[in-house]
Amino acid sequence: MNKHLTIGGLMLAFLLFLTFIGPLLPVIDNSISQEGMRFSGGEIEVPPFPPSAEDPLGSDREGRDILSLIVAGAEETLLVILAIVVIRFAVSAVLGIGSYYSKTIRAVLSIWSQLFSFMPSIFIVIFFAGLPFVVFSEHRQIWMVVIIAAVEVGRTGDMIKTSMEYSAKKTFFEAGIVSGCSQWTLFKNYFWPDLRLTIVTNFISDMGRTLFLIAQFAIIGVYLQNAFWSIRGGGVEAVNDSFIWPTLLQNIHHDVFTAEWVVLSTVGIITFTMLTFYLLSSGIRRYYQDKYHQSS
Amino acid sequence: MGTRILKLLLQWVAAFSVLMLLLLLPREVEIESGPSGEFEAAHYHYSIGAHVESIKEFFTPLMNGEGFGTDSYNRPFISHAWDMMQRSLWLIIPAFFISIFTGVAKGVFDFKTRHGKRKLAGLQATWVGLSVPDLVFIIFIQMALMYLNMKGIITGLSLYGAGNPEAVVLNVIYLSIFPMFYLANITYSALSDENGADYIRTARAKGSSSFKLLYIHMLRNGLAKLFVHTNTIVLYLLSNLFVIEYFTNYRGAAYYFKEYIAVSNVINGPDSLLLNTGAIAAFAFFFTILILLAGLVSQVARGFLLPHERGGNG
Repeated sequence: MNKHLTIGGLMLAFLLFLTFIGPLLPVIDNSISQEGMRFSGGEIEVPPFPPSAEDPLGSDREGRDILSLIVAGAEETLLVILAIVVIRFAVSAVLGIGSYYSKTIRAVLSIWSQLFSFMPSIFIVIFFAGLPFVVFSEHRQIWMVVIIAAVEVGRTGDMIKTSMEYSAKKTFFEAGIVSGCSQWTLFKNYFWPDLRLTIVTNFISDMGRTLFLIAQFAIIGVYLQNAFWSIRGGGVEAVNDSFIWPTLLQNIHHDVFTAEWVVLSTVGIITFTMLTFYLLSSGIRRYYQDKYHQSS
Repeated sequence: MGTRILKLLLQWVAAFSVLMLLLLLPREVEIESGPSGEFEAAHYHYSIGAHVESIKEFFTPLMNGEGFGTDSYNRPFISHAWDMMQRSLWLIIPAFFISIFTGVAKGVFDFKTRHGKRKLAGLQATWVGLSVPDLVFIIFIQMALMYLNMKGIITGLSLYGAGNPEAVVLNVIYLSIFPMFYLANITYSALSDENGADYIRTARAKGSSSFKLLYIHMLRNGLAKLFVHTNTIVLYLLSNLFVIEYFTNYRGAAYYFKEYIAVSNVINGPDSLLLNTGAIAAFAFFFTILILLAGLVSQVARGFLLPHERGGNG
């Protein structure tokens, strides 16, 4: 039995349940109401409230229920990482596969991956996040998704290119050429089976990586989405206005001492999601490997 | 090897120039205010003229020998960046070597224990280390230390800020966690690939000890696959350095670089989004040089360590 695939599948089912059925559950406060203080046993409590019957996972500094925040942010979080990885793999598939056939595309891919190999992607994303047209854009989130996707296109494109080159060196591929296959048949029957596995497994594990990358941005205070709040004396302040999970880490410096339940539940759900993707990715790889060995 | 090194140097020049070109993008915005000074809209227009102007502005002091400019305390940015870089190097260099040595050792251990019960501490532990974000380990170490502190078992550690040895030691540990598991995984798969090779079967048939087989033959040849990943590891160390310095208030190069490169959240005038280009250029210079050096070292090490590169003409 393929343990990784089974457990990963169950975990994915749980995540989807949380995302789509979660908002219908009675414990979830869909309006994400803030709570200034609370009376318990004649005493006044101020947020952040520790976990209790009312807030199973506690509340944040504004008295918002963490469990409800996690449910409210689930759909957006999963959509954002899916969008990033879809864009990244669409571009890298074109560049990676194309670089086997065309010298120009190979040059483009190589320049792209070398340019970004001298700077960690986190620096580049922070830099782009601060460009005026990204700060003020109505579509800031789309810009950020495209930027985060783009900085790692070099890496994934190289991976696809390597997979093609690896297949091309094998004897079975030479046999295909000798027997007179057309370029299309060569691609479809000789490259694609291996390539598909590389793309699918890396696509899924990249979703986990991307979630972690966004969490890192939140810790250092870079958000995907901004709203502008007017401040006294003119001007505006850019504030985060999305419920995406990593933004719950924005006060991690203080929360880790005083409201550890905020950090633990956020890091918990992020880790859970990352584990889901890694398990699925390695489960799928194993599934295809087993199938391959049976048939040979 | 010579041509590879030259190629790397050229790549650095090209990458650094493109980064500078991006950094010098004009950043003035027009802010539209309402009658009582409230924010209504912001406009930004890119023009090549303004871009050229900002490049000229940047290069004039550089050509006059004033370097990248000075900060508000009149310290030149380049020396400030170098001082902070030294602080960060105390984290990066030990973390780099620790993660390489422990990672390869863990990979060898995983390979030796791949059958049987010890697999739990071997392969499966590596798998968990790879899939759980290192942030989890960091938070748990911090919470455990805080708990011990509250119970009075270990007291007096100062884990935040730069300049105390315990903060350096912990940050080095935090930094090495992920690269170690990453390398363990690569070492393991490199060893498994070599395992079935003909030369290993020959060596085994001739009666080489399993120790010699593993360490002299397989690891040496498997190293080729490890060197491919040096750049990834250095990049990973640097991005994580960012998070860790910020998280533990360790004021090193990554901490200041982030301070300079992130724009202010408060926007109240046309210049609000301007960056301190001199400071960023100075820090970016050292960071890219560090990555370049790591690349050069791995090229040279390849030349000395790899059997087929030493003898061949590549």
